This record gives sequence, structure tokens and C-alpha cells, in this order.
Amino acid sequence: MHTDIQLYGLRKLAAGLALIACLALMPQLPVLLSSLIAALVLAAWLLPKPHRLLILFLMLSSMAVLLLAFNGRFGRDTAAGMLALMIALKSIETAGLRDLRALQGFSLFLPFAAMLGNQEPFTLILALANILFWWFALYVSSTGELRLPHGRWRPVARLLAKQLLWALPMAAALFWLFPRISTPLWSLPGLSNQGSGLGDSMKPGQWLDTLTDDRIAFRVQFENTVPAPSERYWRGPVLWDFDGLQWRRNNKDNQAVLSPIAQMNDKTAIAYTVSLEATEKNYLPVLDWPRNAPAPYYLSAENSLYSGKRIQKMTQYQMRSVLTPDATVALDEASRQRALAYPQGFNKRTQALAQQWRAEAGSDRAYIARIMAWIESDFAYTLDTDLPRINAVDDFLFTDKKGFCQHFSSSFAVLMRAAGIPSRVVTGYVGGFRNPYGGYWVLYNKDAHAWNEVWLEGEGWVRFDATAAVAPENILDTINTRVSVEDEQYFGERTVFSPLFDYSDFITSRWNDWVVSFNAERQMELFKNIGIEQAQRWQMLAVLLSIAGIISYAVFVVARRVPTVKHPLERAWQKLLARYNRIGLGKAEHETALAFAQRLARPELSVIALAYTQWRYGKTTLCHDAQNALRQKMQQHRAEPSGTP
Amino acid sequence: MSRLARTKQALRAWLKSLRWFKPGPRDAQPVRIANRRIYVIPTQFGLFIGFALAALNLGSLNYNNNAALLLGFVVISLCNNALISGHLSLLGLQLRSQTPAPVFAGKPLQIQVAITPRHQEPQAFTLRYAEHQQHFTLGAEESSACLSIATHQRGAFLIDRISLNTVQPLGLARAWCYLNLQEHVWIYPHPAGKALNTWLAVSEYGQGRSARQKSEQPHHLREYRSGDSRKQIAWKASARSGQLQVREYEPASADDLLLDWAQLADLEYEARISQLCLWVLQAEQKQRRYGLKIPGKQIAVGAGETHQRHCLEALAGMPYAH
Repeated sequence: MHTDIQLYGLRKLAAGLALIACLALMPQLPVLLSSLIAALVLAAWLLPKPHRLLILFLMLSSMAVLLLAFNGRFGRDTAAGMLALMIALKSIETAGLRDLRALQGFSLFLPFAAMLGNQEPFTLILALANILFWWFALYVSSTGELRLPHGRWRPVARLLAKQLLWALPMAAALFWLFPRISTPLWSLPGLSNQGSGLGDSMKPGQWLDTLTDDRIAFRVQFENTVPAPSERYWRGPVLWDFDGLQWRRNNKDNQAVLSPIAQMNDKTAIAYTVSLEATEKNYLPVLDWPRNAPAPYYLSAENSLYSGKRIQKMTQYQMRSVLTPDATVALDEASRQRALAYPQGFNKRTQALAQQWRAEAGSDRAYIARIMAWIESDFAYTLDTDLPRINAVDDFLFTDKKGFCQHFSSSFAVLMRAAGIPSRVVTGYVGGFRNPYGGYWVLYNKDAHAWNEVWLEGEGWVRFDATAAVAPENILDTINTRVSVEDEQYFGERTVFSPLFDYSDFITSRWNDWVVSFNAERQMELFKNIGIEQAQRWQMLAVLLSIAGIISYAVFVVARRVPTVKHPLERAWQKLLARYNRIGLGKAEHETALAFAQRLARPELSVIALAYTQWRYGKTTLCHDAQNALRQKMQQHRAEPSGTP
Repeated sequence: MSRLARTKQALRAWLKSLRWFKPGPRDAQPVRIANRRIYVIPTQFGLFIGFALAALNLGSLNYNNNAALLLGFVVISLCNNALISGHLSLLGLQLRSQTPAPVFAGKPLQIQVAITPRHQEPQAFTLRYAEHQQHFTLGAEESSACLSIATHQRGAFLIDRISLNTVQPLGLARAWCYLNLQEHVWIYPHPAGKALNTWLAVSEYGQGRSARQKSEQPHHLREYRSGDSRKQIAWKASARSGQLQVREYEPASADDLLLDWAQLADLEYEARISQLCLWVLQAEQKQRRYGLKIPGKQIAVGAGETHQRHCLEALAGMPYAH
């Protein structure tokens, strides 16, 4: 049986543990769920254990709230939210050591669940705080009773700091040397919500969330050349089929082409590394015309990079791209037909205009130039648009004359197709912000964009961006991260805190480079550097175990030392002796303090030695002031050869 | 008993039968706990945490989730350090035990262990012998703990070894060391029965016998006084000292008791022993002289602590009836 005081402490401990365990996960959960968890934990902190039936009721209603918060869909994030709820409920139910033990065990799963969703340093810091509190909870309940360290928090904190410090070398060794798995044994369940952003289709209004989403989509580090802002188009899914309302691609488009574009060693190719945040989609953004496909990814027929599995965590890949399309490639007939198809029944006015203008213009180029000029002079950029009606293109071109990339690219493609020029819509990202600390480029979700590619005989697929013609400042550089082309200095709407955010993003980027993207391949390289080519699992384990053994022994040896606390007077005396030692008149091992003073024949030293001996070995007790006085005397005493010549 | 408990017991018995796990000879005290005396094994809770961590790290490894892996490895290292700390909390302790005093069956046997700590940090320990345990906290000063062992049966009791345990700092592992005692302790019979009735218990001898016969042992020598019988003179001793010495025998007192097994024929075997035990105690308490006669053993009349101890040990050592 626990006493009341123990039970009181136990419930507080359980509630604290539950809250801190949920903390790392909370930013990823819906606000509704986070507040519910916080309320449950607060109840566990304040109130005694409620009746069984009430707990059952709480559980059922919490599950209902969970389903409500995730719109009834079940995914990886729903499971994480459920785990967090269970932990919070367990803290309410805690009434004994057994409950606390269960909580201590299962609460470990929460920070890991948080890491699955987000591997940023901030999450790790929260998770680490959780681990420290977990350690404390184990420490105070280790003996089966609750032994809160009243009045000696400082030694406990010091102990914890020491234990953590000693844990770091071992953790680092395990991290770098523990054999990694190159191909997962099982795959991660998906999220309940596939999220906004680029997809296999472009519906009207679908992008509005994306274009205001401040989260980072990916970071790019260029190796040498940085292309001009107007050339930084990041290719995502290419859309071919238009039904009058939305643009689509089909599953066949996601397949790898049998003869991929020549892995040319192009001198003009731009080399760069992309660190893509989790998208839960299969595409990987690449600069314009990629020249390689790093395994296990592949290029589709329209030169988009795809992965066989969905991108569920931060992923890094190295690419080379050129900025001009390959003119030698021919357009096959099927693709030409697809790039010319459009529903004939709608947008009659547009069709008529296109055919008339194409006839008036001598060439495709002249026709496109006229269209671009018209759009540039007559159209405006805005995110505030009406929902499209049946003749969406007609409405946009002849009535509204304002919209965003979705309207521009869709209408432009229809204008081309109606004039008999093959064209398609390319979705992706444009612009980006250069981090001044890391020199890399950050692209946010709001940098998502859609533009067109038009097939010109002898030139290949040529890019035209009608939106950029209207509002280059909106597209090529998002307004608050405007960059001047010459020196890439940023100006515009930046606040006092912007450098702080830049720096924290720089740290995140480095963290991604060094830690998050570490994998089996890089581990191989690491072992190659030590001198083990083609390291086998057992070799890795052997190296790891010997290093772990050495570290454990080192910790053992360091921890074994018993700190001796020396009295200030003793320290002062030792220092005084050291001063004499420096001039070659040190006290011999066998000499007593008095004999030493006598040998040197310095009166004041004799006085000190006598007082010290009496204090140290005799029964004399010195009051605080007297001790200080003696210490001062010792400190002021200079070591000189002899006092009486 | 569940199957699990049976298996556990069988395993424990098997382990105990191994030479490696048998208690060693008595340690020279005081004992300083060295590395080789310390064992560390995970507790049930430690195993639970271990499985949880293994599952979490396997998952992280599978998804190559490096942040989670890093966190997992930090937790594993913290646990590893906890094992080392558990080992270190025992290392260098100095133990001294006192030979426990004999007790009556049913009363707890007490083993006093004095422990000198090696460092300042307070630490919770448990002294354990079989299922008996005593929790205590060791501070910066030498302190002693008393382990009580419940007794049920009379007889010679062997305490082969006791263990000093700690689950600190995290409760994940139990670190322990053995203190080999090899102490033989007498558990006296449980005293019970009727109170000592002097009338009943007066020995039947005493009437019509000479003082000499009453008590076989001469008590001491004294100088000759007129009136002493010539038979009493110790000639050899007199020759040595040059003075006449007389052997003096205990005065033949009717108060002498002979606590006789045969007198208690109406009682059960163990009840007889308990009865005799009670009488020995009461006779001693009343400062009477008493003798004990049990099957196979006879203790002459006497008094005092040593005499009492002899009597009680004789009673405790009686064979068990089948």
C-alpha cells in the first residue's frame, strides 16, 4: 500500500511524464487533440483517480474526439495521436507503481512517433527533454517507492548531467557504426491525409492552401553554378490531359522510360543536391532538364524524377541538370495527339481566338509572342478568384482577366492546343530564398507553381510561363524574399527575427546533411575511410562492440573516482608548498609541516605551519574568521629562499 | 502454483546446484567489495524497457530514421551507464557482520551488518537472505542494518551467505554482492507449556542420600575446620599446600531440580521439548539449580548462563520425531 503523500507524488510524476512525453508530438497533432491531451494530463495532475466507469467513459469519448480530429481517416498520424491519448489516459488512471512502470515503458514510444513525422533538431530537443524527465522518473521510483530528492535537487541534476554526458560518446559510436539496413524490411503506413501540394492532377482552387503554406518543401545546394532566378524552374509532375475543368496525368506517366535520356557528361550541366522534405508523394523535384537519375529513382518520359515508393521522410539526392531541352528528341505520335487534345465542346471563344490569331501569325513563335504580349498587358495576378464555371478558360481570358498560375497555365495550354501547337502543363516549384548562412536555396510550399511547355519543331519542349509574364515578382522571387540578380542580396519584407530564422534553418540544413541523411551507403564510405573495404555486418558489429567496450570501461574508470572535497585551508597550504617546490625548496615527503618551516627558518612560515598543524592534526578548532585569516596569510606568503640572512 | 512459478523454481534450484553459484567459505571480515564479487542482472522492469527499446530501435533502423535512432542510442547508453552506476554503488563498500545471537523458534534471527560507504551520495540498499529482506539507506557515514530472519523450527541453523542488493539508480538492473557468513546459529525450541511447579519438579533424589552422592562433582576446596569428616580431607592437595584442605560438596539442597524427559510421558514429543525449554528458562530466572535429562544426554545440575545455554542447545539439537 502507498501512503497518501506517496500517491500524491506518484500522480504528479505520472502526469508530468505523460505531458512531457506528448510534447514532442503535439506540434504534429490537430489542435483539438493537443488540447484534449493537455486537459487530460492537467486533470491527472490536479484530481485524484476517478472511478473506473468514468475512465472508461473518458476513453470512449477521447476516441471519438480523435476520429473527429482526423476526419474519420486512419493513418500513421492517427495512430500516433491515439498513442498520445492512451498515455494521457494512463496518467489519469495511475494509482500505483505498476501503472507508473507501464507509463514509463510505453511513454518511450511517443518521442519516436514524433520523429517519424519530423526529424528536425527542435523535435529532437523536445524528445531529449522527455528522455531526461524519463530518467528522473525512473530515478525517483527505482526502489519501488517514490523518493523525491527534497533539498538535494542539485546533486541529482548534476548526476543526470553527468550520466547524459557519459552517454553521448557511446550513443555517437552506436549511431555511426551500428549496421544499417539499406532496404527496409517493411514500409511505413501512410498519413491519414495525403496533404496539399503537387499531385497527379490540378483542380481549380486546389492550390490555394499550398500557395499560402509557409512550410519548407525542399532545400537545394548548388555545387558551382547557380542559374539565374528566371531559370530556376523545379520540375514536378507533368500534366497532359484536360477535361475542361482539371488537368491530369495517368499512372503510365509515372513509369520509367526504357531508354532513359543519355547520361551525358555535359560540361554545362549544373550539379546540385536536393534535400526534399517528406511529401507522401512519389515525385522528386529536379531542375528543368535532368541529366541523371540517382538510384533508386528514375526519370519518366517527360523528364520528371520519380520514386517507386512514396517519400515519407527527408530525402537527399544529387542531380545534374541542363537548362535547355534536348532538341534531338522527336515527339512520338501518341504524345502529340495527347498534347493536342482538348474538349471541343467548351470554351468556344478561346478556340475561335486561337485559330484566328494563329492564322494571322506567320509562325508558332509569332503566335506565342502575341499571346504573351496580350497576357502581359491585359492580365493581373491575384489569389482571390471565383470558383470556375463550365467555360473556365473563356471566363478567365475574356471576363475576369485575373488569377494565379493555375488559371494562366491552364488557359495558355488551351490556347496552344486550339491553335494546333502541342503543349502541356508542368507543375513544380519556382523561385526560392537563399539562406545567407548556408548559401543554399530554400523552396517553400508556397513556391509551388504551374507553367507550360510547348513543342516547337527543332527545339523540343520549350518553357513558357504566362504567370511570370504578368507578375515576375510574385513568381520568380516570392515577395518577402526578393532577391536581386546581381549580388543575390535579399531585401524586402524581412523582420528583426529573420536572421534568427535563417540561422535556425541553416542548422536544420546541416543537421539534414550530417545526421538525417546518413544511411547504409554513407556508412560503407565511413568504413572505407577506416580501411575496411566492403564492410560486412559482422565486421561492423565487431568494430562497434570493441569501441562500445572501450567507452564503457572509460565511463567505469571515470565514474569510479571518488571526489575528495578538500578544505580551503588545505588547498591553500598545498598551493603554498607548491610555490616553494617551484623554487626548489619543496617539503620532503617525510617532513612534517613544522620541520619544513624550521628548515627554511622563516618566522612567518613557522607561524603559519604551527597554526595549520594545530588546526589540521590537533584539537584546535578555528572559527570561520580565523580560518579565513590563516588562509589569507597562506595566500600572501611568498616563497623566498630564506628570511634571515 | 502456476507453471511459470514452477519452472522458475526448478531453474533456480538447478542454478544453485552449479558449483559456480554455491556460497564460498566464510569471508575474512571486514570485507571490501571488489569487482569480482559484484553481479548485475536486469530486473523485470529492466527487461520490459529493454524490449521496448529494442522494438523502437528496430523500427527506426528499418525506416532509417536517424533522429529516432540517435535518440534511441542515447537512451540505450543512459541505461548502460545505469548498469555501470549500479555496479559502482557496491564497489568499495566495506562490510562487517556480527554473529547473530541464538533465538527461540518463532522469534526472528537478527543479523547486524555494518557498512562503510565509499562516497557521499545516499544510496538505497536491500539486505537479503532467501525471502527475507531489509531495506535501508546508506548515507555518508558508516551505518548498520539489521536483517531479521523469521525462524520456525528449532535446531542448528546455517546462514551460508546474505546478499547486499541495490536497484539504483534507475531500477533497471539489480546489482548485488554476497557476503559469505557460514554462521551456525542455534534456534532454541519454542518455550511453552505449564509453568515450573517447584513441588512437582523437585527431584526424587535428595532423601537419604549423602551429599557426595547427590552431586558427583566436588565444588571447591577449603581449609579444614574442626568437625569436618576425615573422608572429606583432600590429602594430595593438603600435601601440596602444607595445610589440611577439605573437599566441600555442594550443599545437598532439596531445591535442586532435575528436569527429566521421562516425567513428561503424557505430552507429545515436541511439546515435551517445549515444556523442558520453558522450565529451563524459568529455573534460571528463579535462580535455581537444575539439571536436564533427555534421551541420550544428561546434563548435571548447575546454574548460570553457560549452563542454560548447554541445556537449550541440547534441547534444540534433539532429533526430530518421525
